[in-house]
Amino acid sequence: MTYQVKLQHTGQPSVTFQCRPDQTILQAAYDNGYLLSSTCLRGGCGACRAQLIEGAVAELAPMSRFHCQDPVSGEFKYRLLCVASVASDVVIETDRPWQTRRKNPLSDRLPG
Amino acid sequence: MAISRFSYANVRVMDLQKAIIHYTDTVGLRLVESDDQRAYFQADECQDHHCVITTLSDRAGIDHVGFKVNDPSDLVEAAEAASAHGLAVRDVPLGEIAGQGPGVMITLPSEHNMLLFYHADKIGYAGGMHNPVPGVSKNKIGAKVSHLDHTLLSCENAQPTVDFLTEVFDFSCTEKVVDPGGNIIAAFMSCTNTMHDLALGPGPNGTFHHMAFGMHSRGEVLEGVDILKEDEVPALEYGITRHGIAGVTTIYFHDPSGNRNEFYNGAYQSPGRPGLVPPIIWDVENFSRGAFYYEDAVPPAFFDEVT
Repeated sequence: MTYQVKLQHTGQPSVTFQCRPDQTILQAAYDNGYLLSSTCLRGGCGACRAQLIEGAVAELAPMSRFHCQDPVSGEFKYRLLCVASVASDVVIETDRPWQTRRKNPLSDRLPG
Repeated sequence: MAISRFSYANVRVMDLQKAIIHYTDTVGLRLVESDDQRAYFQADECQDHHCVITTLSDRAGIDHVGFKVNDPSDLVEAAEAASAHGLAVRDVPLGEIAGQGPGVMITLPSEHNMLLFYHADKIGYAGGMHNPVPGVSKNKIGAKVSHLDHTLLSCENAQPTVDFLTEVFDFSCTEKVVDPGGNIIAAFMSCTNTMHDLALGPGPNGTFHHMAFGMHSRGEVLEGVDILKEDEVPALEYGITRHGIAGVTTIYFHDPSGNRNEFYNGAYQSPGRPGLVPPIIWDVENFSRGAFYYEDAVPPAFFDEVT
């Protein structure tokens, strides 16, 4: 079973891909060729923070509440995609832009 | 009044059991004691009760750093001096933290908590205290960490904390990074003969950049990297590299709550009377070489992301 993830970020065309409930949204994005901003991969540093616009996510591991807060207002605002998975179809606005990744850079170079 | 040395870091973790596995099996510390809120660890070549405390929390980051003083009366003097400097001070009674005596908690201008204390219970060296086995045991598990060396704490403006530590607590500044206006971007502060016991770098006030575990050789750092890879620990994109600042061999990685750790070897000694040994100055345009000497570049996430 998979759910659809729609990623958006101001100034970037939005992208969609499928995510299983047992994998992180960060990993599903990677598998589909999208490199999200990330550092610790453990829910602690906030590099992958994003706002949930529609749907529901699940926490596969704890998220640092410090990095889930709005830095000014202190309100709960962000989910950390390195430990978040999907509980429904979701629409997500990332705080940082993502990069695209060539999926098979070596096989592209191999002779037909 | 004299601070004798950096003793321990108390870091916040979101999963205590995962932290225990990481700091013992991977990093190679000894688990000294634990309950449902905290775990205490010590490296092989320190006698005191702990060099790392992990405290269960809803966030990652630093709870406080612990420094030892030379005499119990230093605690009173330090508390008065910090209060006179306008800093928040509170007494930490015996029993609040296992394995050590009472202390005073001082909130630095950078909004980090620094606990000064005199007494630490002794657990001895890993090799024993009576007719010991020298060197590292053949049964050693995890990386060959000898001691916890220093922390790097992040703050918006390091200058007031540098001023306090040098003017009141007799720290030396061994190296600093300055912008063209002379403002401090990063400062490396020492209260002993090591190049830094506490460093300050850019970031939001009160946040934690990393704590560094010392090793005896570059070879042991390389072996440590193999352990990180085998245990699938997330590491900095450069892998093993060298800092221009202090010239050390280094790798950064993350604990299971995302707190940054470092294995490192090769810092120089920095003896001398506080305030009389001039610091090395790095101009900010050369900071990339100072931070990562081989790559001459700093990944944006290195300072952007702290816990």
